Amino acid sequence: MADSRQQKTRGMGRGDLPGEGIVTALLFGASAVSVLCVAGILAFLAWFCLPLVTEGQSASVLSWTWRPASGQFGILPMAVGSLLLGSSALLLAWPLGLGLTLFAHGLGPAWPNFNPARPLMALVRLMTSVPTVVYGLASVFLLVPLVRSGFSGGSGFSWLAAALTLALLVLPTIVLVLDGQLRLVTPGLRLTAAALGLTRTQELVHLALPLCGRGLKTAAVLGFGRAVGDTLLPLMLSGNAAQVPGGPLDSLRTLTAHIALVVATDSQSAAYTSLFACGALLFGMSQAVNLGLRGLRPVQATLSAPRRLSLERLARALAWTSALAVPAGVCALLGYLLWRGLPTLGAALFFGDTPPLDALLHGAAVFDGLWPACLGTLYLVLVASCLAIPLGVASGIHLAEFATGRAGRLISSCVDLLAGVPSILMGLFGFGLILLLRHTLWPRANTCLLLSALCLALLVLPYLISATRTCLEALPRELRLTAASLGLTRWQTVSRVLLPAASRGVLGGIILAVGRAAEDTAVIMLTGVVVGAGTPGALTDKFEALPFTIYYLAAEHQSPQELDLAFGAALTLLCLTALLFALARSLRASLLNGKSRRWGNGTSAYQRTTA
Amino acid sequence: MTTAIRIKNLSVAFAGRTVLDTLSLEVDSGGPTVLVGRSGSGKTTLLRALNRLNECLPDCATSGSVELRLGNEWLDAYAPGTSPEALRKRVGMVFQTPNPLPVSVARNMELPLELALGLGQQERAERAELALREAHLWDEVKDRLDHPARTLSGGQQQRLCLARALAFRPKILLLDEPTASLDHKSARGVEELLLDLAGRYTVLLVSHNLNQARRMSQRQSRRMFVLREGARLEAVAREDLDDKERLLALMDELL
Repeated sequence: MADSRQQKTRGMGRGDLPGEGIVTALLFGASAVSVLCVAGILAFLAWFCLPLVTEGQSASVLSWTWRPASGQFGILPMAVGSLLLGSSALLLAWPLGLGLTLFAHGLGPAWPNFNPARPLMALVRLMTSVPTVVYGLASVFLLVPLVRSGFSGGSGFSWLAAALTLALLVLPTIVLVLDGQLRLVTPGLRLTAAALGLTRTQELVHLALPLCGRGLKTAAVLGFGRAVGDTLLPLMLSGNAAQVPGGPLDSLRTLTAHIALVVATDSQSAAYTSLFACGALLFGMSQAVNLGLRGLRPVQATLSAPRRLSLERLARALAWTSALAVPAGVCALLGYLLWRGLPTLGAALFFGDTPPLDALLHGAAVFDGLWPACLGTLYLVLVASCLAIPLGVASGIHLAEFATGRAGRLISSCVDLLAGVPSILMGLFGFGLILLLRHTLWPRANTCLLLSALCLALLVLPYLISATRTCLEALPRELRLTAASLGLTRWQTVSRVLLPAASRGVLGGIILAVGRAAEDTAVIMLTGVVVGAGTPGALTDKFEALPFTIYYLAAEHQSPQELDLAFGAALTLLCLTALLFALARSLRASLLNGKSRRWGNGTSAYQRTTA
Repeated sequence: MTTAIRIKNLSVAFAGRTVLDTLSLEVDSGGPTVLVGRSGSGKTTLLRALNRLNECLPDCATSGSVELRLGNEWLDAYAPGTSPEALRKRVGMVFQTPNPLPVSVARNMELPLELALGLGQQERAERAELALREAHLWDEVKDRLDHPARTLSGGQQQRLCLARALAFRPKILLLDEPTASLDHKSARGVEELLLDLAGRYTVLLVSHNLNQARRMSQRQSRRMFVLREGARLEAVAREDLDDKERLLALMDELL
């Protein structure tokens, strides 16, 4: 980092060509959007929370009772609910994730013709592509009845059910962070440790893991942030009673679910104030996570005295437990989804009773099919992509190649802040924007497709920025020096040499962002999605979308046919996101291979290890 | 002179590419026995075949037999019952570049003894000090044992790695161009140390520095082998070793 920044400042002259200054200014403008956006979110939260202080509502909001009908708007039970659910999910997911990573890194069996680590890591990557609402749907109809019958009493919609599913949701985050760290640490250790007669288990437990101290913490912090910020799973599974739960079988309500529920019921203004107080709390929690991440200094190898064999045995037990339990859980949920969803696939699923050709070519209305929702999701993703991709890529270029000094640091910390904003907050931001417009310029303002797309664009913006930035910064330094020595200006270097070299990686980042935009439910719930809107005709119309259809039908289905529709929609969405993720991954993989071929120094990994 | 290492028909391939092809060699105890050859001729692979370290690299296939005399018994390195860890505890290795573990000087010495040999606190400390003295490093590091090993100079780090191997009290020491990454002065220091050690251990040394190879074969018990491309192994005749001119001519032709 320090190196690349130095190089940025003294690398090449500024504005060698007349157009250069304009381009730089445009790139800077793209980066400024992130800063403005963070400032906007903060301002909104502050503005809408103001009545808490000026009108003395804080006593009512910061209390333990939520009874809006009688004017009691206490949000503390929800804050406790968020913390309880987030930490319990983490307590489940972190050890399982650690076990899974250890299993994949050598604690599992080493059969000559079959390495179980490969399918295991493939499964973890598949898990990253499963939309939240799909997990939610499968859990509502598989896990919740199990909880209900297993622990007789209660509805099954409980802290326990939500925590179990949430643990599956955050697990891939944890595994991928740990896997990345171990990959950094182990190559240098493997031969040394082996030459000293250490077993693979000893090497991992006593040498590699202590060196990954930072990764272990980062994984926990990121996992917690993801768990606290999630809306759909608590909303669908935890029962949503506004109370502090007495035990794991009790119902609870999180801040995220609370925001979604209150906006949906559209109550009076005092409720809105408490809503934004929830938002502020949630923002505070997610940013505390963000700060926690920064506070993690790289720990320099304080290897404690190893505690003998018990630790190794524990690690092996943990590895085997997670290698069996996690795939079992995921396969059960996804298998159930396939079992219920596959029979529904067909033209009728998408078009109902309308002839498909009429719907496709002449825009005939479809009533009992997913076609309007598919179209809605398509339009939504298209508009959001048009907004986010140019901004994100430009800002990534700016941060990687042009930003320096204080401005650069400010922008990159704003991008980090933005990346930590839970999606429901982004929806709340859009909802607040409409409230503001109604009070000021435009009394008839209402939530719509354009607003949803705008909020989704802001949601995926940080992904795009960091994907572009990482790919550019990963390019070898010689490339920049070569281009500079040939007399190219900075922008020429970026546009003609660096961007083409990084293009596949950038494209991979774009596809991931599109996948993220297609599956998100929390944002659109607050900004204009409805059921039965039909095909949207204009940007200011309400619209339907696949993820919201799944959520709605899971909760409100009137007939078994409607439930089948939900499973069909879930399967469709899952296929879509899995396809996008696979595409992004293959692009990245080909970038890595291509890099060693095109930009490597001529020695392959094999030659380096055997020379 | 007794035989300490007996290699028969050893073949090693990585990802289907043959690096060593049916190679046989007997190494006498003591030494140092020096192995020279162009880079890429498979010297390192041959050395790593002796403590089965090639298996830690991807896509490696080894065939043939390697027998090592450890004390009074012969150990077949590739026999099904031989565990690689047990073998590596008794065959020390020093790498081309210093590879201290990212911990303190003292932990570098003691951690492997604790994990691999399961020694108690008292014995670990004793062995560590003895080995550091043997590697002529004790006086330089005795006041900074708790400093990170990476803060030592390159030569000190390499002697630390040597001491770490010596602390296991191995019968055989495998040295893979141990002075390649050191400056001239540190290299000479390590060389003298190795000559000194060769009286007590069986030392097999890979080198592609001709002067070093010549100096290392000044001893009485010297042996030198040339590993040619195509994995042919040639012993260098004793008279060639004595005659400086002929040796240099050989080296020129070789390197």
